[in-house]
Parts: sequence; structure tokens; C-alpha cells
Amino acid sequence: MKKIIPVIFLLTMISIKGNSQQFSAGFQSGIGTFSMQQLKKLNEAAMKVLPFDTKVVENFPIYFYYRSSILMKIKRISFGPVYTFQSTGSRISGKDYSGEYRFDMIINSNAPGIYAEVDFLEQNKLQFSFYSIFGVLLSSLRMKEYLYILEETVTDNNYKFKAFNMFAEPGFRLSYPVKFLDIGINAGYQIQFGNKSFYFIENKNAKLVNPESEDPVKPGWNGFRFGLSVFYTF
Amino acid sequence: MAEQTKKFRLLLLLSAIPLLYACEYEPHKIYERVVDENVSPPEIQAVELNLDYDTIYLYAQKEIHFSFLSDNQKILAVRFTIDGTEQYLVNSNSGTFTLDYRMFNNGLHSLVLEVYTASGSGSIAEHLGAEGFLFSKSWVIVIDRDHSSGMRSDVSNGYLTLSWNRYHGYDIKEYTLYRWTQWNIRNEIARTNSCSFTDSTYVGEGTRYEVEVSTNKGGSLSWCMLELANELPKLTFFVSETNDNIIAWNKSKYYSAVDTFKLATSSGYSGIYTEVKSTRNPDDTTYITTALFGDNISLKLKLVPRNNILYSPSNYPRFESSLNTLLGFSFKPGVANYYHITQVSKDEFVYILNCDSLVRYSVSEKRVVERLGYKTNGCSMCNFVSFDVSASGKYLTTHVDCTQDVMLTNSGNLGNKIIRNLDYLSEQNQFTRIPASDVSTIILNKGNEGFYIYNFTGSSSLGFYKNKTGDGQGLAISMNGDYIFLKDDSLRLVYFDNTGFRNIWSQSRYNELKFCGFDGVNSDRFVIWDGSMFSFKHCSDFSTIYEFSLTDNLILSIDYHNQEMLTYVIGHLYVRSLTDGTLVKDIPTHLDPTNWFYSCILVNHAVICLAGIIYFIK
Repeated sequence: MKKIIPVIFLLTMISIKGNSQQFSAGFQSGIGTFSMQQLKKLNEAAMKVLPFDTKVVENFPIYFYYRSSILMKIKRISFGPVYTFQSTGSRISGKDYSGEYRFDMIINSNAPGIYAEVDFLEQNKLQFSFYSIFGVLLSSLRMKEYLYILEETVTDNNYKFKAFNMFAEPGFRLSYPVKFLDIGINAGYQIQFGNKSFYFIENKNAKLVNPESEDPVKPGWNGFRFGLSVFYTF
Repeated sequence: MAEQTKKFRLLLLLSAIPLLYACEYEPHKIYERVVDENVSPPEIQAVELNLDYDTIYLYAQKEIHFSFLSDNQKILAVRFTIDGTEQYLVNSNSGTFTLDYRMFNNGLHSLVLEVYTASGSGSIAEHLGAEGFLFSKSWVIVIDRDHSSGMRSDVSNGYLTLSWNRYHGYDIKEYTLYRWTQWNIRNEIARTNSCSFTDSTYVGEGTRYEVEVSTNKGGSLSWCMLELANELPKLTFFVSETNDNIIAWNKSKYYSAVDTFKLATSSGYSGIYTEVKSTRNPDDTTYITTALFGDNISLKLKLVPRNNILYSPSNYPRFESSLNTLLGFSFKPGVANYYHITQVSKDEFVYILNCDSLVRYSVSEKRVVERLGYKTNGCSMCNFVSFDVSASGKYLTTHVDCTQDVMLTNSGNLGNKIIRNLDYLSEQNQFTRIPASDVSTIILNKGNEGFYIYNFTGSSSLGFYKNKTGDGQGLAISMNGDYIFLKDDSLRLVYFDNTGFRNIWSQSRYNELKFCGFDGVNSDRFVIWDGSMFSFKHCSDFSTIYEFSLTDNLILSIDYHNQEMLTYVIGHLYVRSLTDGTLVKDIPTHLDPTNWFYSCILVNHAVICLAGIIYFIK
């Protein structure tokens, strides 16, 4: 249901198009850094209880994000709904001739919000803008633990959690019009706020906690966002 | 056309949105751990393991102490299984496993020891305990839970010989034999490596033997035990055919261990014993007592051991057999109450046993030939208190049931009985005597008014004698029922026929006779004894048939069938001929037959006393 919200926004904006405004729809993709401090600590705690040595081979690295928006521009100000999808993850791994152990965490967020942009400067069609996004972070975490020893699968478990938080992302954008498209690059920093931790998808009262500190674990989407955008103006 | 192009581009843009969801992060890197797959197995050394032999005989709980060392890989666990079932597991290289033999059935079992070590490879499987080296060793366990009952006793050459099953364990040092001297107090009597032992000190007084196994390491195990009951010779008493009173005992099983057999007697229950015999011959097992017929004597047979740790004055009773008996042939089995012994035929007498049975006993057969148990109908009471028999003993009358009905039965077949309620003629109670004839007529006394002559089988009253005084009653009736001996205004012998009563003889009721009665064989005879002259009289005219002088103290009984009488003079029972009063047998005795408990009768040449003894004259 939540996945069709961006589509509804887009169709709504198309229907209210008037002669005095300029509308555009765009798609943006780029890379982001993600702090995920508490999930990293959770990995550390998980490694400590293992009787054999392992390594964190992937630790919530920089990964792609995807964003789409529909904007209405009045004079120098553009605004409209925006939807962002982000994803990253981690893996604890150990493998030898006798078997393999993996502990994967994959975290995604669906983030609907409001996009606002103000044009600052325009020179030789090159336009410099300041933008800001406010929205909600609907995070989902999937843990997968897998143990295979002596040709026998000992453990193959999946656990799913969710969390709800808010975010803001201020940044700059530099764009250049090419025919009916507006192509740009942007740089920003996403700040997560709100203190909601992960809960078990099948039981909201069951929180995900760090077994060492016994603190609830929440997502950490804070980080830079660098992207390339394409807007179609109509 | 331009509008259509715009819509196409917009649609293209929208169709890209779902692609966002295909861009989820997916981990893919792997950490290859550094391990040594080809590691050699360790050398395991048993530092401690107290299982020295391949076969373990398990007779008690055993603690297995173990400790192992490995030259390289760490010992992770030690595991014991029995018959494939895990009994003990410890995640260490040492420990103690308690092997409880009671948990297993008798027989052979397989004990397996497994030592688990790490593999040394450092692999995941090793760390999780799924990979390692396993060393195992097995033993055969033999379980015998019944060894404690494997002790036996035997007698060899007059000595007690004990034997027991062999202890198969390899750690045996010797067997230690104990003997109880008091309850739960034991003395060591031997140490041996043999599985048998002869106890030359045991004479059969009863004790308990215990055997323990002493082990090389200083331990001990309760191996077996045996309790021996008292087997001292049993004293018995019997009367020989020559009326000798013989005390006898069976030969001691352990005669070789006995030094002396000592017999002591005591009169009655005085507790003062006098030694009457002492012998060292184990085959000399009899003693003839000089005590008299009817004497109550107590006897003790003491076995003096040649050597016995227990033999001391305080323990003398353990070495003694005792017996208390009345001298005479006993016809009384065990403890029972006997009443009213009465002759009923040439060879038999009847008595009341425990007030609920009539018992008929044959003198010649020396046994009970019939017993009539009678259950009271409708109430709880003593069934038989007394009874009367006809002159010959053919019929027996008594009261039964709560209604005091009158029962007439054939003494030769007590079960052939007739019971009638005769209260309509005269109210009955269990103390009312019912004299009967051999033709089943009875005297039915009616208070102080007189008595009926009643035909019991015909169920009719034949006549009524009305008293002249207030306390008369019919005392006896002749065999044929035609003569009545009664007490009214005088003692009378009267003749009765269906027309009435005719006086034959009478005398003052205050001049009581010492003995009188109808002959039990000749229906026309009546005997009378005034204390000096014993006479047989014709009933028809009371003329004397014959008579003789008799000056004894008391006539106890007359056996008409065998023509003998039993009389009493203090210190003597006399059996005399009924023909002329000559003495047939003089039986010295301390019995006082005037005491009802010691009353005696004469039946078929035998004196039968209520105390339960018989003296056979022939």
C-alpha cells in the first residue's frame, strides 16, 4: 500500500496543473553514507558470542539511494512530494572446509517527504539551488543467520524488524537544462531524528536490543547523499 | 502529436519507479578462515583409571576415578555408556563416575568409555564440538545383585558348615566371617580365602552369620548373610504301651559341637528345676520320668557346647529346649476347653469342645471319630453347655438355639438329630436336665409340678408325674424307658407304663446314696452304692442280684459295657471289676478327680480325664 503513495502524488499533481505554474517530475539516484552505529555494535556483540573467529566483511557500506519527486515551481521556489528508497547492510562471515557461518543484516528505508528548493543563482543556463527535504523513515531490517557444518545445515533463520523515524536532508543542487530535461547534481546530508527503535514485525512489543548493553537498537541513516538527477518539465 | 509524445515520456518515467525496489543491498563477501585440515590425532594417556581388568564384577556401588592427558589437542569430554545408553558425561579430562549396580539387571553388560578431544584444526566444526577425535575402550560388566542371599548351611560330621558363592572381583584379599552375639552385635570369628567354613562352636541355638569381602585396598563389601533359626533338639513326651512316661528329644544336628546334654525337670510351674539326666552321648535321647499319671511337669534340655563364645549364664536360655506337659496320653490337641466327658458306647465317649461342638472320641482308635458343630439359629450364645445320655449311651439330649429347643441325637451318629420346641409342655432352659432312654423317651421336668414322660420320636406326651412335694424331679430313666428314678417326697424307683406310675422302691430323700443308676447293658438292672456295699438290683422288685463290699472314697464312673468301674481313693485311681469289685489296676496319681477340671471316667479299659489325658490299662 505504501509503495503506491508516490504514484498517487504524481497523478494528483498532474491533475492540478495550471497555466501560471511550472511542473516537473524527476528521478534522482546516488550514493549515501550510513552511520548505523547501533547496528554495528550489534554485530560486535554477535561476534563475541561466537566460539570461532569471524569477521565483519561488510559493515553498512556506502550504497545507492533512489529518489523520485514531482515539483511545482512558482517563480524561484520549487516544492512538492518526494519519495526516497535507501538500502545498506552488513555481514559477519566465517568459512572453512568444515562449514560456513553467515550473519547478514539488510536494512531498507522507504521515506516519503516534502521537497523544497530555492534557486539562488543562474549563469549561462547553469542554475545553483538550495534544497531541503523533510519526511518519515519507514525502516525495515532483515536478519539472516546461517550455519552449515559438515554438509548439514544447522541454522537457517530469518528475523524481520521495523522502525519508524523522521529525517531531514538539507543540500545543494546544480542543474543544467537540456531540451525538455533538467539534469543536475546534488549534495546533501541526511539527519535522522526521532528515537524509535526496531520492533519485531510479528510483535510490536518485542524490541530489538543489544545483548551486551541491553539498549534498544534503532536505525542510523545519518550520512551524506551525493546524487545525479533528471527532471522532466511539462 | 506533441501532446502524445509528452504522455509517452511521462508514462516511461512512471514505469521506472517500481525498479527502485530491485535495488536492495545484498551482502556477498566471505571470510575464509585459516585452518589446518590435516592435523594428526593426539596421544591420550590415562593418568588415573581404576578399571584394571577387562571384566568387572560389580557387587556394589563403584566409583570410577579417571583422569586423562592429551599431548596436543584438548580433551573436551569423557563419556561412559552402558549397553549403549549414556550414564555419565563430563566436559573435562577428569572426574568420578559412580556406577550404581542396582540400576541394572543381573547378567552381562557392556561398559564403554569414550574420550573426546578437539581436532586441533581450528575449524568451525571443531569449535562447535562437531569435529574431534574419539578414543574409546570397553569392558564387560558382570552384575550379581543377589550375592547376599548366596550363603548356605549344611551339617557335616555333626558340625555346622557354611558356604557361599565366590567373589569374582580381582581385588579380593580375604573373606571375613562374623557371627551375631546379640541383636545387631557381631563378633568376627574367622578370616579365610575359602568359600566355606566349619563352625565347631555352633550347637543350633540360632544366630546370624555375615560374610564380608576385604579388598586389597583396605575396603570391605558386605558379601552375604544367613540367618539360622533355633534348631536345638525338641523335647517330646509320650506314653509307652507299658504306661511308662517317656521324655525324648531328637538327636542334635550339631552333636559334635555339644559337650553335654542336661535334662532338668520341675514340678508344675514352680520354676525350680532339678537335673535328672546328664549325658555326653548324642544318641542317648530318652528319659523315663517317675512322675505320676496326671502330673504337670516342666522340662528343660540344655546343650552345653564344647566351645562357644556365647555360652554364659546370661545366655543359657539360648541353649535350652523346654516342654511343659501333663503326664498321660494326650487326646487334647492344643489349647481347647473340654467339658462333660461322658461314655456313650463300649469304646467311645463324647465331650463338649469350646461350647460349640460335640465331639465323639474312640479310645481304641485314639482319635476323634465325629464332630458336630452347631450354629445357633438367630442369636449368639454358647451352643452346648451340658447334655445327658441314655443309660447305654445310645441317645444324647441337650438344649440348642435361643429358644432352648430340645435336641435328641444318636450318639453313634451325632448328625442324626431331631430338634423340638417343647415349651408348650414345660418351659426349658439350658440348665434343665433331660434324661433319656434308649427308646427315645425323655423325662421333661416341669418346674416343681412334676415331669412328663415324652416320646421324642413320636412327638407325644406319654404321661405326667405329679409331684407330691414342691421340688421333685425325674432323675433317670432306664434303657427301655419303663423305670424312672425320681426324687419327690422320697427317693423312688417307679415303674411306668402308659397307664401311670407304680412305686417299686423308695427311701428317705434325706438319706442320699453315694452312687446309683440304671445299668447300661441290662435294662432290668439298677445299681446302688451306699459307701460300703455295692449292689445290683432287679428293677422289677428291687431284689438284689449280687453285691460286694466297696469302701473306696468315690465311684467316678461305671463302664457297664466292659464290666469295670473307676473309683477314687486319695492318691489313687482304682479300676475294679464290676463283677466282684476286685482291683484291676491301681493308678497312683496326684490328680483330684473331685475337682471337675480333673474329673475322670472309664471307657474301654482306659481312664479318661477331662484335663485331656488318657491312661490305658490294657
